[in-house]
Amino acid sequence: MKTRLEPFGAWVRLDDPPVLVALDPDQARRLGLEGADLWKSSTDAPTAPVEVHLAVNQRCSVGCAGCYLDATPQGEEPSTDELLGRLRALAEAGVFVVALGGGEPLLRPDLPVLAREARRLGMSPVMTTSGAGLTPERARGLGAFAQVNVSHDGVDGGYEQVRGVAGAAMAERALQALTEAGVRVGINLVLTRRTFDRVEATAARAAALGAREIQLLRYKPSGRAARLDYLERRLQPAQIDTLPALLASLVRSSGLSVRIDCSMIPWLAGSELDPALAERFGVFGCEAGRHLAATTVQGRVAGCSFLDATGLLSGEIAGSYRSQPALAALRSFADAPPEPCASCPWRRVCRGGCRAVAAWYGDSMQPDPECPRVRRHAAEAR
Amino acid sequence: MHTGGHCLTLASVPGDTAPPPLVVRPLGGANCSSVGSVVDLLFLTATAGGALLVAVSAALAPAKPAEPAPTEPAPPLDEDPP
Repeated sequence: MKTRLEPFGAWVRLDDPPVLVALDPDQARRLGLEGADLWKSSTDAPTAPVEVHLAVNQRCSVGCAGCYLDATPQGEEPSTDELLGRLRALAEAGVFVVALGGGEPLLRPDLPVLAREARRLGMSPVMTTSGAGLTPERARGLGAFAQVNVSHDGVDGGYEQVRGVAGAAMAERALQALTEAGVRVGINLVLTRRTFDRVEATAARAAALGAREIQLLRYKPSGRAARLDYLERRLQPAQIDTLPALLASLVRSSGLSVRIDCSMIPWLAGSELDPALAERFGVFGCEAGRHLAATTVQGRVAGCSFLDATGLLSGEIAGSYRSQPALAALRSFADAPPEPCASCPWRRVCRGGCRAVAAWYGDSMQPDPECPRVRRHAAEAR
Repeated sequence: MHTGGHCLTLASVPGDTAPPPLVVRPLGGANCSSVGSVVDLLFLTATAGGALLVAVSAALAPAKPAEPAPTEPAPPLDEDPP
């Protein structure tokens, strides 16, 4: 059991069942925890993120058309010692999960070293990969990872339509190799206009290859995707309206656990789902600068992988995460958002949608323009 | 909008009688760009959510005091303890 005191009480990580639990001060005291001054704090800002995305390089040779990091074959790559130092800093801050990504992490030979060190420091290491270069031998070396997700945007040509490269077969070979190596695997599927109709078929294919989870990701205007054709490639409003029904179908029939990224919560807000239930089971919107942070290849901290880096260095998270101005501004939006978020029953859960998407439309401190409620509000105002 | 089935609410989730945790967040997942939330429990039956809350409550229950170990005769001391 790993614990971390917070202004609300404490986070507790359990291994069985594998969950992260938020307790209030009374519940925390029953475990022998005492928050003292922290529980009298006038701010509810978290002491540190729960999960940090650690960019292990900005190097990749796959060349996906919509790469959010604009990774290239010549991209930057920190040394092993630099990354080990960042892992120690994250552990010191009390981070629970460290997600290694790139670029393409598999271009690094030291992934087993990094994963084992994260484990030794009490964190749960996970990783995302395209699968490029993953041999059965390399897969067997990834056993220290709690889970590896392989990007797979769609069967029947869906992958190629989104990324501009024919990588589905590569992704499926990687899934098979990881499964055979005993590594828990999932897939990451970016939802776009072209992939949406193939989600269930792709989930079925992934499940047949041993995947345990499907993570659906919103296509965001960042990196190489931050172009005008974003508007044509993104999920369309009519597709967004049917997302809750698709999720229900996946949960009930795919055999996979279904995860959605924090930017997609606005798309649930028009459904009949209960926001209090979502809150109880940890289904939250924008986590940037709150429970989520990212570190760039240069070691700077950002609210998430899609937002600009702040001046905070990874080594400073332990003492300065709560007070860093840009991260505090991200959190503050959810405290007092304008309409139509202010009166939305999902406000506490959704937090106003994706700041990175709002920024692309012109103002990161405005409601997410692709939320159905925000769309309707804007249409009524015209 | 319909989600393709029943509408589960927090009130319909059975659990222990003790106050449940503020948040129970299933771990796992592996994504390097956006943090993910497991949505399974929003769409499954109330029993599934209740079962998880019960399991969490059991895991968080204070451990019972350990049974005292059987008393054994102390071995003879060769020298005085520090």
